[in-house]
Parts: sequence; structure tokens; C-alpha cells
Amino acid sequence: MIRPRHLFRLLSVATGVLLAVGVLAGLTLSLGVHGENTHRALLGERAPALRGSTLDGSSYVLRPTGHLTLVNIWAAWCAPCRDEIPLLARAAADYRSQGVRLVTVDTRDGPVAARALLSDANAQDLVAVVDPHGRLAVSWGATGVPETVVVDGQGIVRARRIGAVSREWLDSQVRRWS
Amino acid sequence: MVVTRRLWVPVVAVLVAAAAVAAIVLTHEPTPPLSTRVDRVAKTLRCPACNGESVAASDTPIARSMRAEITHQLKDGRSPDQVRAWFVDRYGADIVTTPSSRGPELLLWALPIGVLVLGGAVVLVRSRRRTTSAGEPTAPAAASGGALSGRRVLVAVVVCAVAGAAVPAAVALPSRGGTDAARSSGGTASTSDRLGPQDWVRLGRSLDSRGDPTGAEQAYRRALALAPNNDAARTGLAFDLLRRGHLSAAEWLVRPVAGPAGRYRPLALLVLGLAQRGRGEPFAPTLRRFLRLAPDHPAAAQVRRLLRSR
Amino acid sequence: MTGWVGTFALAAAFCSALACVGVWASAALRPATRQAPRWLGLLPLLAAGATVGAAEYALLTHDFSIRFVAENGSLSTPAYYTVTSLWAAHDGSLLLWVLILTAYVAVLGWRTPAGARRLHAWAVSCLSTVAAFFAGLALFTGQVFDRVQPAPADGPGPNPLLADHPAMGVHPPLLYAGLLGTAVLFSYAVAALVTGRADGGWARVVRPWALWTWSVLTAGIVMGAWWSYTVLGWGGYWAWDPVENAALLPWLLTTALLHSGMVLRRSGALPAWSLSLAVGAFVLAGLGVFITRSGVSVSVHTFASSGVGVVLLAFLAAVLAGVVALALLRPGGLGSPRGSLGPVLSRTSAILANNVLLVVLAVTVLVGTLFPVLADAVNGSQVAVGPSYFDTVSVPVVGLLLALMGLGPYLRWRGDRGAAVLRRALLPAAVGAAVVVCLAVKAPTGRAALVTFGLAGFVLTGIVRDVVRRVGSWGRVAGMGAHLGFVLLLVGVAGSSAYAVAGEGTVTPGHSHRVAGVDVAVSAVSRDRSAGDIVTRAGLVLRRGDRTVRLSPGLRYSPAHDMTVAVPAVSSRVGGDLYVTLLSADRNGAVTVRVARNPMVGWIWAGGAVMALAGLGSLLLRRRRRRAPARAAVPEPAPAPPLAVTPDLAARAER
Repeated sequence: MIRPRHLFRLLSVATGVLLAVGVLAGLTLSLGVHGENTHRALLGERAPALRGSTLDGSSYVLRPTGHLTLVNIWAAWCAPCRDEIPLLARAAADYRSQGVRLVTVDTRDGPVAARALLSDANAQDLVAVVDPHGRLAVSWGATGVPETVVVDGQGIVRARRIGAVSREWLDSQVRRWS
Repeated sequence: MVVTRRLWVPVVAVLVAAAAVAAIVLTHEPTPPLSTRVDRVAKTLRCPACNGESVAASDTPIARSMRAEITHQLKDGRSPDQVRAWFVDRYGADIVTTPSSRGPELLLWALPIGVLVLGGAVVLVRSRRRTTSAGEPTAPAAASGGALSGRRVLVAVVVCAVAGAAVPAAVALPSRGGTDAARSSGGTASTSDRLGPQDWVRLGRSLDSRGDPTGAEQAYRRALALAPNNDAARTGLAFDLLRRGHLSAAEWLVRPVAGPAGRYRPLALLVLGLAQRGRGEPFAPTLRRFLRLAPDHPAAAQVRRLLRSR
Repeated sequence: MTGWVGTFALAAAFCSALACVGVWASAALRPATRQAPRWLGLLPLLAAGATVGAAEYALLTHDFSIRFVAENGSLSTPAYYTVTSLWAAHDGSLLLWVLILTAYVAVLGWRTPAGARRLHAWAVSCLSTVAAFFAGLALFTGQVFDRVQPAPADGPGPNPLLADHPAMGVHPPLLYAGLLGTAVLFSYAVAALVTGRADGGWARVVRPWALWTWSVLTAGIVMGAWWSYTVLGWGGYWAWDPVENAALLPWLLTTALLHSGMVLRRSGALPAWSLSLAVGAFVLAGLGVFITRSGVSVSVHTFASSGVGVVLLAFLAAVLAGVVALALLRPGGLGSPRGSLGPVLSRTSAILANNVLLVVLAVTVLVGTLFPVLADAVNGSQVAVGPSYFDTVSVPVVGLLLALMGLGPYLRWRGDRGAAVLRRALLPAAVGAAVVVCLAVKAPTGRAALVTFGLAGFVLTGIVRDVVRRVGSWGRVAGMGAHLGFVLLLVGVAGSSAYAVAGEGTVTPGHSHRVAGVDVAVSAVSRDRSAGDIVTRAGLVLRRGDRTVRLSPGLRYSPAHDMTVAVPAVSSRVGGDLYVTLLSADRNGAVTVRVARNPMVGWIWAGGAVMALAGLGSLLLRRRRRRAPARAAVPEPAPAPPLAVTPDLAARAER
């Protein structure tokens, strides 16, 4: 014979136990889950504007041309970016015949250091839009440098790579979205 | 005389109170300077490159860039909400750290209010009852009743043990049976794999490539804590240590990896050679072995230059 | 050799803790015939002390053949940070926990409180179980004393972020002492569930431990806030980071327990509730350790993580299941005397309301901290919960708490008439209102700050009046001191967020530039190398009104990390801080600085110190009071003579 008083107590104890079990189970599941350092925003959407003056003094505006565009965000103070620049310069030269363009954004950087890096790497032909306050990088949803965004011929963002790219990754993206 | 004093004390009190309430009601939130307004918006945004810091609290270049963007947009007269919406477009909904009031996130708002209402109700009900049932005879307090017998304590201890064993079992089970299900749901690894040192190594590499060697170092250390002989973690950590100038620690870490044939042998040889060079030991043989194993490595050109310039 | 000694001592700590479990449990089962020898409790402490000593010895002698030293020591680390590097990584801090826990076992086992022998014996047995668990964890999963072959000539040193501030030697041990202090409260709760004694006597025995835990935890948390204020270049002190929250949760519940314990002590009401608070504080402290160690939440504080997550979760599950089992096995279920609360307008109800508000805060912090983790685990959705959420919910709740704090202590235990309360509240309320009016006229600010200041005036007047009236009743004065500290802290928080002014500006040599209302001039820019880093320092002369201050904030560039960290400089006065961060310095000597005037930040640290000291003071005063009169006999098993005789107690007395 359970009196209502005891019933209430049993119910509250049971609720507490269930809650605790739920939280513990959730935590057990979550062990080791680490927030992936990537995000899917902008994918499938129209690419943000990209315009400004470049390191060599001309001006640049990104317009959809029917061909793939790779946008790389870098800075001379970032070690992986320095390693990546020669690879990018070679890729830009190789892709030119297919109409694929490679544009870079030099973010929060001193122009002297950036120019020196490009000339050291024999990469003066790379288009590098200057982004002194980092606003271009932010408008492209960058979470750091280096970062590479793939924009298709219609101006839609298709892929994003956080961290340094490899030639295989670039090739696969060009094959996939061209 | 006494009566008048009794009267005027409350009157003055009421007047002061009315003035205070009026002051609170009439006060306008002063328009804070731009820097404060930028700070307020920045506080509600998560720094995408940091460990749980807000854009306002972080000193990373990307957070500075985001603050510059916020400053610019607020100067242009956009409202804080418009600025936040702009960032959501660029970075996804979880860039904003104020949970929405829809969907499961409603729980975050409802739970505190629910507890407050429930708790208040309980206090009121239990307080009132006292005044009505003071004379009512009550049962002897159970909590202050007799002691538990030894056997019951034993039962409780057994329950403890079973519950404690359930958690490791729960972690272990999905890794055996649930691998397929986990794979089918978007390629995430199974629970036990998620715990693995491999993930920490992967995280370390991505942090390394993003110019965050401190974070990378921590990730490698975690990997090593789980698997002390993980070649990838050893080499990665050694590389970071080498960059920080801890040559002998780096050397100690990679020496076991540099010997036997393995995927990380070339990289380990590179680290070992550079550490030896830094300590003034003979390094050329080590680096030559590296070049023989990995002639196309990105660092090969630099190593060749180094050997030539010697 | 050192490694062998360390491992052996750790094993001895584990075994002697297990022995304590058994001996005290048997003493508890047969209190009439058996008594545990008090020296037994010292054995685990001695062994744990030897373990920590061995680890520190290895660190200080740079014995790189010991794994922990090879991974966390370095020849270039100064001696102070070599000592503190023991708790800069998980394995070493586990040893520190074991040391603290065994110290608690020794202290708890040394003195049996008068008339609570069985309760005490069960508590020591339970606490020894907790100590044995952590000693076992360190013994079987830790690798501090593993041998490294061949030994390296030098190590990497501790995490650089943990080797550049003197607080590293104080803040973590204080925090651990507070978090683990909840284990004693928990042990007494378990003892109460076993013996069936959750009455005024229980509350009296637990109170010193609750005071200790609370004071140490307060000091640890506030010191952590001060640390982040002086190190992170943006002038913030609390970011609602998961790890900060994890320390706040047990603090909230311990605060609630201190208050509900007063009701329990006086009238025997709310026993189950008080036990739940004690258990909750311990479980949440364990959860905090889990959050810190398992890396489930991303936080700037997750320095020392490891794979002990599963073991800790298993331990927490066992604790919860054990407590629930004990409660359900109790003859008569989980019962509490009913109908023993006062009328709505009474001190008891005010304390209950305080408990409700503290629990609401705890629920908010807990849900906000765990929600992102749970959402990610359940359906992989990414939800971020940040400072704005916690601020929005906690500010009104803390306001209510403050109002209650002004009213509660002046209500009578047995109930009050509204008119009498109004009369007592008149003067404080008038002062509070006057503060609001003055501020609204003199120093306009936001509504929340205005209300906070008004409430602070209300509470402070009450405290002053109370203290003046009761000089001599020192326990009460200490309690009011804790309230005073809390109000000071809140005033500091409200004031610094309402009146802070910050700005950035570039200053060229030879010119004075006005930034955030402060005239800034550069006197010198220097660059030098220290410990492998390049430190740029700008000598600045700051002038505001007739106050002139010289500060030299710096930028530390570490070539190895390719990373620049700002080293802020602070000048503190009673009125407020001048906080300068160097953002950049160019070759011509022009510097860009961020200048912030943070008024009243010092109140936060002062408030925290007052709270902690008041708590400790109350603890010491208790002891003296206890010693002065003849030992007040607490008969066993009958409870202490209740001050307010309630029906159930009367019924019990008849039996």
C-alpha cells in the first residue's frame, strides 16, 4: 500500500535518478568527441565579394567567369603558409591552361614581408589581394591561415580546406568542380 | 510629538523610495562608446580558432580581424543583431554563443525558470502547511530513524560496484557492435575510436598547420598519454619541441622512431638530424639517410642546401 | 631509486587507505567494543607525503630518467616553477589530490566529535574509500615514476602558460583543496544515510568542514579570476569557461549547504535536502574534474588531460548509485520531518528561498556547460553557449539573492509580522534608495548597475548595523563578514562593467596622445631576449588629472611558437586600475596601445579575500567557543536538544 506521500517521493527520486543516468550516459557518449575544426557555412552559397588592391599595386575584382576559382588566404607570419606558397605558385601555373584561377588573400600582413616571401619562392605571378585588417578573410569565413576556398564557375562556394593544402587535394577539387 | 515623528519617518522613507524607483525607471541606458559596443558584440561571438574563448577575449589574429569587422559595421550604423546575422552567414549558427529560444535550446532557458518556479512553490507550500498543521501528530522522522544493518550497507556497496562497472561496459560495447551504425551516420568513428590517440594526432597536425604549435603540442601529448609508442605523435611532438629549442627532448622522443623502418622514419630522421645539428653533434649522416629515404620531401631542398653549406 | 621509492610509497598509501576503510567500518559496525586507532589515519598521509616528496625530489634534481620529469621538467625552468610543475600535468596533479585527500583522512580521523562516534567512523571509512580510489587511480593508471631508457639530457619543461605566473603555486592547490573538501561533506552524508542521523548533531559536525571547503574554494576561484585578469591582455576576469564553471558549481552548492545546515541545526528540518546538497557538491566537483581531464569541453584550461575520463565517470556513477541505494534501503524510505518549517515570513523560509536561488544558479551553470557537450554527443549538432547566456540568466537571480541577503538575516526564526519587518528594513532601504538617487544624478549608468548599487547599499547598511549591535557574538559577525565580502565582490563586478572605459591609440615619441581619457607618452622602447623569447617593452608615462603613472607593457614574441603574446601592465589604486596592453611597436618608436580604465576591479579581489577570511575566521571562532565551555554533550543516538521543539522531535524524545 503506497501512500501518496511516498509515491511523490518515489517519483521525485526516480526523476532525479533518470536525469542523472541521462547526463552520465550523454557524457559517456561524448568521451573523446572533439569539436571538428571545420564549418560548413557558405558551402553551396554565393561567394562573398573579393576586391581590392594587390601586392604588386594593381586592383583585383573576383567575377564568375564560368571557370573554377581557388581562393587561398595566407600571411607571411604563418609558417605553414610559407611552406605552401611554392606549391600554390606551381599549381596556379599548371591550372592556367584549364582556365582555373588561383587568387590569394594576404591577410593582416606587412607588404614588405609578403613581397619578400613571394619573390623568395619565385611566386611573383600569384595574385595576392591585400587585406590589412583581416576583413576580407573574415568575410570569407576564415577561421585562421592558411585556408583555401573553392568557388565554381557560377560563383558558388563548393569546398573549404582549413590548414595547408596538398597538390592531390587541389587536383581532386579541380577535377570535381570544373 | 511622538506621533508626528512616527509619521514623518515613513513619509520620508516613502519619498526617497519613490525617488529611487523613479530614478531607475527614468534612467536611460547611456550610449556607451564604440569600443564598449564592439566589446559587447564580440563577447557574443565565439572565436573560431580558439579553445572556447570569445572573440572579445582572444588575442589571435582571426579574433582581431573579427573585431575590426565588428567595429567597421557598427560604425556604418548596423545594429548588433545585424552584425551577428552577418557572422552567422559566414561561420554558421554556432558562431553566436547566445542559444536561440527555439528547438532543444529552449531547454537552456526553460530549465532555470522551471526550477525557480518549482522551488518557489515548494517553499510557499511547505511554509504555509506549518501554520495549519502545527498540532497534527506526525510520523517519526524516518531519516533520523534507526541505522542500517550491515547487510543493507553491503547491498549498497554492490550496487555501487555494478553501476561503476556499467560505464566502462557502455563505452566498450558500441565499439564492438556499433561500428557499422557509426560509420553509416556520416563517417564518424565509433566511440572507442573517438577516444583514440589517432584523433589527437590528427588534431595536432591540423593545429600545427594552422600555426598553433602550443595547441598542437598539447594534442600530441594527449595522444602520447594514450599510446606512449605512437610514432606519429612522438614525431609530431618532437618537431614542436625542436622548434621551441628543446633539442635533447626532441632527440629522445624520435630516436626510437628513427631506427626501424616505418612510415615516420624519414621525418624522425629529419628531426633527429636537426636536433643533432643544434647541439653541435655530427648530423650529416642522419640527414643524408633522410634524403635517401625521402628525396621528394618538401624539406628536402632546404636540407640539401644545409648539407652543402656545411 | 627515486622512482622505486615513489611507487612504493604510492602503493603504501593505497593499501593503508584501504586498511582505514576496513578498520573504521568495523569500528562503525560495533561501536561499543571496537575503536579505530587514530594513528592509523596518519599512515596514508605519510605515504602520500613520501610519494609527492619523491616526485618533487626527482623534479628538483632533474632526474630525467623519471618519466614525469622527462616530460615536464627542464633545466632552464626556475626552481619555483619546477616545484609547481608537479600539478602542471595530469599525472602529477593526481598525486597532489591523493596528498590532499589523505590529509583530510588524517585530520578527520584524528578527532572524534563528541557524541557522534558511529557517524564519524562511517564518514572516515567513506572518505578513506575516496582516497583509496584516487590513490589506486594514480598507482594503476599514472606513469609518473616510469623509467625512461635512455634518459634524455633535458626535458621540454611545463606548459609555458603555466610557468609564468606566481599564482601557479597557490591557485591550483587551493582549488583542489576546496574541490576535494566536498569529499568530506559527501562522506558525512553517506554516514548519515547509513546511521540514520541527519539531525542538528549532523549539521554541527559537518559545519566546520563546510566552512573550510567553502572558504578555500572561494579563495581559489577568486585567485583564478585575478590570475586571468593580470595575464590575459583584455582585462577580463571571468569568461564562464567550462573549467571555471566546474569550480563554481560545488561552490554554489556548498554555499547552499552552509545555509540549509543552519536550519537543520536549529530545528532538525530539511535533513534530506541538506544531504542532497552535500552529495551534489561532491558529484559536481567530480564532474568538474571530469570536464577538466577528459577534454569533452574545449576550454583554455584543459592543460592536463588524459584517458581517465571513463574511470572518473564510472566512479561518479558508482557514487550516485550507492547514495540512491542507501536512501532507498533506509527503513521507511527517504524521510524528513514534515511541517517543521516556519511561516512564510521567517528566517527559515528566507534560507530556503536562498537555497532555491543558489540551486537555480547551479542548474543554469550546469546546463549551460553541459548542453554543448550533450548536444554534440546526442545528434552531433554544434551549439555554443557563451558568456551572454550566463550573464542574462544569472544577473536577475543574483539580484534576487542580494535582496534576500538584505532581508533574511533580520527575520526571526519562528516567524515575523510584516509590520515589524518593514520597520527593521526601513533604514537600510532608505540608504539603498538614497544610493540609487545619488548615482542616478552623479554618475549615470545602466539600470542593472543602478539596481545592484542600490541593493548593495541596502545590504551593507543592514550588515553595519548588525555588526555594531552584536560585537562579541563573533560567529554572527563572521557570517556577516562573508555577506560583506560577497556584496563587495558584486559591487566590484557591477562597477567595473558599468564604468570601464577602454580605447586604442597610436603614440609617437615626443608627443602625448589622449587614449580613453588618459594622456599617454612614450619614454622608451626596448627589445631584449629572455629565455629564448624576444620581449619588446614600451616605457609609457600615463597622466590622468594629477595622477601620473609609469608602466611598461610588453609584447613577448616566441620564435619557436611563431606567436606573440601581450604582457599587460596594471597600476592598481582604490579608485580603479589603469590597464595597458601593448598592441604593436614599430621601428620608429611609435607604439599602439590599448588603455583601459577599470574602476572598482580591486573590490572584486578585496571582496573575495573578505569572504575567504570570514569563512576561516568563523571556523576558528567555533573552535575557541567549543573549547571555552565544558564540552556540550551531544547525546547519542538521541539528537542534540533542539532549540525549537517540533512535533516530530517531541515524538522521538518520547520513544
